[in-house]
Amino acid sequence: MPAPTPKVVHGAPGRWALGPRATPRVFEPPTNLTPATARALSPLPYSEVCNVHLEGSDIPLTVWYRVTAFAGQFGIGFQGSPDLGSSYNPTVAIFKGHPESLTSHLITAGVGALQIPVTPGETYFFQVAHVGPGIAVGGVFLTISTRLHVNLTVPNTGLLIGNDAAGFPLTGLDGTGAGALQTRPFPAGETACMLPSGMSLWEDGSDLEHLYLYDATLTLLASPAWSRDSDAPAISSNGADTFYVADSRSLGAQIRTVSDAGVMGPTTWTVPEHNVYALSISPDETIAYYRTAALGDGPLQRYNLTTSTPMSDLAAAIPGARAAGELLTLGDGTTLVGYRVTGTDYVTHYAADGSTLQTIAMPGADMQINRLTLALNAASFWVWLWGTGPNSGIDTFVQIRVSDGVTLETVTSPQYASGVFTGPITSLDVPFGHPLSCPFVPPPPPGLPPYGPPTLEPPHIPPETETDQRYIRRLRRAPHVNHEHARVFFRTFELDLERGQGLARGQGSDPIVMLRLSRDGGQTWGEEMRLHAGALGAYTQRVIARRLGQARDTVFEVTVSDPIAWSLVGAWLDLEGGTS
Amino acid sequence: MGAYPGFIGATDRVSARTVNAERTINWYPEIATGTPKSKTWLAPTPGCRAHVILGAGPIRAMYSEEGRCWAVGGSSFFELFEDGTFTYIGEVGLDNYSATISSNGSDGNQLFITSNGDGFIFDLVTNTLTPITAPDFPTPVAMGAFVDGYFLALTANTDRFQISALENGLLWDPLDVALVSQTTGIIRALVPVHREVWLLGTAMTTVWADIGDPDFPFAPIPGAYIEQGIGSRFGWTQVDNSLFWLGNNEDGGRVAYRAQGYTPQRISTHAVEQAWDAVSTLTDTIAWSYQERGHAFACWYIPAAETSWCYDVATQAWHERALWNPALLAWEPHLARCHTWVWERHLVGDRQSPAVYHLDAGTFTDGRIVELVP
Repeated sequence: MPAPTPKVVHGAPGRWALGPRATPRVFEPPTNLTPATARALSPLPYSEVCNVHLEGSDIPLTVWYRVTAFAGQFGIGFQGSPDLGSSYNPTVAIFKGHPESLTSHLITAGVGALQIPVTPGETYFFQVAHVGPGIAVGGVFLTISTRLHVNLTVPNTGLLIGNDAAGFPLTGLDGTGAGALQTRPFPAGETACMLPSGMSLWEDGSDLEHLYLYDATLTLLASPAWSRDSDAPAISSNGADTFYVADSRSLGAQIRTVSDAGVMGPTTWTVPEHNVYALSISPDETIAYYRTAALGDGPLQRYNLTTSTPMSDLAAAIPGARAAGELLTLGDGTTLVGYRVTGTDYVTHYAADGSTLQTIAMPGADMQINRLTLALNAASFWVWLWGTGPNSGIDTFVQIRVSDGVTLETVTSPQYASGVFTGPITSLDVPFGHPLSCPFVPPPPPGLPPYGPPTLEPPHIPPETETDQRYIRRLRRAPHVNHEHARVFFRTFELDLERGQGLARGQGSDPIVMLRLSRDGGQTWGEEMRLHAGALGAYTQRVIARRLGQARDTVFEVTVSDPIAWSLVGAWLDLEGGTS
Repeated sequence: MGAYPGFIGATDRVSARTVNAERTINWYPEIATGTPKSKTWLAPTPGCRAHVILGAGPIRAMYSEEGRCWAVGGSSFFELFEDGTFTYIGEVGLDNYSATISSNGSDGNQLFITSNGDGFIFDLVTNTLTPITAPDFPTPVAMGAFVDGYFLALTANTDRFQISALENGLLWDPLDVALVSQTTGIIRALVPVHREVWLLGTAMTTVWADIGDPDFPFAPIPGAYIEQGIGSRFGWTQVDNSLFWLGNNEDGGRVAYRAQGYTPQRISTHAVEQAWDAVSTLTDTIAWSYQERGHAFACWYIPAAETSWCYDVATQAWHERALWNPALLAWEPHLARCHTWVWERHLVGDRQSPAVYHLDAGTFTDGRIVELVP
């Protein structure tokens, strides 16, 4: 098989980089064709281009890569990209474990840019295979780009975005456009709410029996028992110290309180409807606002928490509009509601009596309201807008001042669904981003520090876990031996060195010197000869080679690589000068 | 049989192989004293034994004092401990250059860290890392140093350096700036040598000293003007009481020098220079040094070269240090790119991974423990 055409890759530092980019390199034909021969992605960030074309086949080669996460590393981005215009479709499956017993890890068929959480000490394998019809052209190139997620403080002006896909982490997003600052393991769920103190209550989609209460450092404090049916509960608060949770029930949805100590309240309110998809509470805790239509096309309803009786609707359904995301009731009793429409979505600010105070249009038509959350100071709120059409894959987060509807901040971020970037690939290095659709809340008042304890786990490097570590190879290439360019006949070469230094067992118990000669002045070299340097205690061992032939311009070279203290003292030659 | 003349020797291979093909890789010549069987012999270079793997790499700077040790790995700043543990302290940013760490010792209790063009102060008492946010701190900063109570910061790609307030690296006065007007071109490196400040430019070098002027303490030393600059920002190192660097000036470059007073003494041989001449670039060269068993080694890690090059001050001979890649049947440069001596150990930082190694004569492996078997 002819060697594939080498291709040179020039890397460039990226904003998300944790190490220098790969230096330009030329790759040999790929040898990383199995998990056992997977190429190490090291150091990160790492990039390379390889030719995966197999001569005589129209199916590109399947290649493997691997990376081991170190202490302090919690997220890795991996992108396999075809050459532009190619019908090559590199599809990535991720595994972890031992090469002979791999288990699937989160992504089984990801195309384009991927981001996954990693656990320090674990090794992850990336299988890149072509999925699709054959490619009847030669020279199929795969560009690999891999980098580490940063682990930085999320300021309290940022956003925390959970993930509804199990195994994927919570993302800390900067509120001023600096991108994804942090990723940390966190339960997957759909709903959450944070109190001004930073205490937060989260739903865990894998646990239908509990809610999860966290403190301002996202340390789990309590998991109050909570039984619900399959829909995620709506979670809100009184804006001070009490959470309100609404659950769907066949006999009517129930609303209960959860204190900031994780204690369920004594009262259960049952609203007439079966489902509650969004909930908010008046600041005096007398009224619950909610909507019950799954598609958001119903009215905004009210329930009197004092008398436990339904009230008249806050606002009627709007023809052609669907309420979307959370309901946000503010300290003055007014309520913010997002609406999806054909065209430009908007947020309506309702007075307590249901009259409209203002309508705030979103920035563009190709943005669809997904979720709403109050900013930490409650004087502004964030709207999460899904990118659609030309904005596909890039979501927009807009911070809006409540008092006048003025936009304070607009940031964008790549959207990842279950770890796979959802937009078209236009870059070989798509930045890290946020999950598709999940609870999003402001960080706690002091911000959120980098994930992981300040003192990282001391690395444990037992010898058996070391790989790629090789015994030092040492080389001495000696001066030319010639005599007026006449032939010189070599009867004997003997090396003088510290003998008898072999180890008791294993490699080095029979230390070997490799001797080779060049008979043309160092231009080309003959076969290596193996000379025994003496086992342990063999202090009189002679390291000698005989009948070495003749040449006009000879160079001797010795190489050793056994793990002993090689000390070379000199060499002797028994030679005879020729006449021609 | 007769002795093989010159069998023990240095790397002296020249581009014309028929002239001399000599190479010495991972051995160094030593001259025996007394009445030895052989006047010279080849001693093995030390191996790399893992001391710690930090959370980020490559290791871009290391520093130690009074039994404490710190390193910049990737974009992170760490404190290392003798038992192989470490503490993550904070983020200092990352670029393709080395970071620098200098200290004002017990008078100021501060470390001055430069990385990615920014400056940081680590308080040795409270163990807190603080970005230097003083509006007049020079950014992007290329490197930092400490001389006579002041931290010095060289502004990248300029001929300007600035000093901090006395013993306080968080305060920087906009008037405490010096322009190195004796030279044309930019200053690539600022190196404190014997309490003097060597300012190595692209083609020339000037030396300044603390003259005690209360307005600005540093001034050029009359006559200390050297017609030799430096070829890469971090292509210098200090060992054996001298400065060693990769030279560069209007006449050419790719020559190694040692400072003899204010006179650059060429130490590279034609063989070394021919090898360096074959490398695509030396502008990213990083020098480091250490002393082992009486041999002061000045080493140059050249990313694009086949091997790392080491000059032994004791014998004035060159040898190469390298890893053998059996897959490619090729040598690669030695892993070390920076060094510190602490806990009576030589610690070196890996040029490509988060590993810090102990250079150990009793170890016969070459490091590369960046990958763990699952």
